[in-house]
Amino acid sequence: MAKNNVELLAEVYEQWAEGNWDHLPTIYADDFEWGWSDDFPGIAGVYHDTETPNPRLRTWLSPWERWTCEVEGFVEEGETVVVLARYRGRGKGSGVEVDVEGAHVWRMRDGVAVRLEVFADRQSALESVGLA
Amino acid sequence: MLAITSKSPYAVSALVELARTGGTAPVPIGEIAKRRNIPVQFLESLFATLRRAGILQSQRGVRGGYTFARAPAEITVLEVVELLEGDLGADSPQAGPIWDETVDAVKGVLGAATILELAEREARAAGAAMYYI
Repeated sequence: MAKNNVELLAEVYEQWAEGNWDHLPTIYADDFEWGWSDDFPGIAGVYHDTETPNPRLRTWLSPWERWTCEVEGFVEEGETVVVLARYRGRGKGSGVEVDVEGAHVWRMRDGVAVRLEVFADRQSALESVGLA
Repeated sequence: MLAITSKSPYAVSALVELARTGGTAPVPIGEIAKRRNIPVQFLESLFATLRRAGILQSQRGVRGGYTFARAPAEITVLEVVELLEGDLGADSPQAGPIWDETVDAVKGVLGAATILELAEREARAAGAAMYYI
């Protein structure tokens, strides 16, 4: 039986929860796009980045010695899945630790992911898809 | 010629928050980010630059965070901006005298304001007294 969108995405987050950002998820469509909200100066925008990790993700990861992303909840609406995420990180050099909320909006199509939009806060992510 | 990106306002805002709420104990970067509505991923990269420049110091660990390495009264906004953006007006000599004067004026304003002064301004605007040790 085919896996549903949440089950497919859960496999991606198993890797990200371990800080494995070199992992290339098999669910990415050929035309998969990364979207970064305006919360992220310098990398905001939509990009068809095929490298893993892509240049903007590398920018995101660069200040951190360790960075993980765990799922705290899935909100599913048709082919859209909002992932309520928790980031934990340790600053490179500074050693300071962070534990903050975040959110991702996934657009799925026939069992593959066509876009991931990254938000700094959950409310904005939910609002972007009319779920708040 | 006068490229000031969003890095500078974010960094100055975060430093003002640290000046207003911090003391000798480190303030977690997540708290500063939340209070100032700055993505923590972005703020850590800015603070890393300021730490390497000797403006901030960090303490490792879950209870760690940032404190000032120098008194906020001695840190000008211009210093922060130029650490993050590079020398303001570095290419203005080719642009003409009016642009040199513009750069000088901007540098004058930013160089005359310290992080402590901005923190005090904010505190006054909020109707709160501020004591920094």
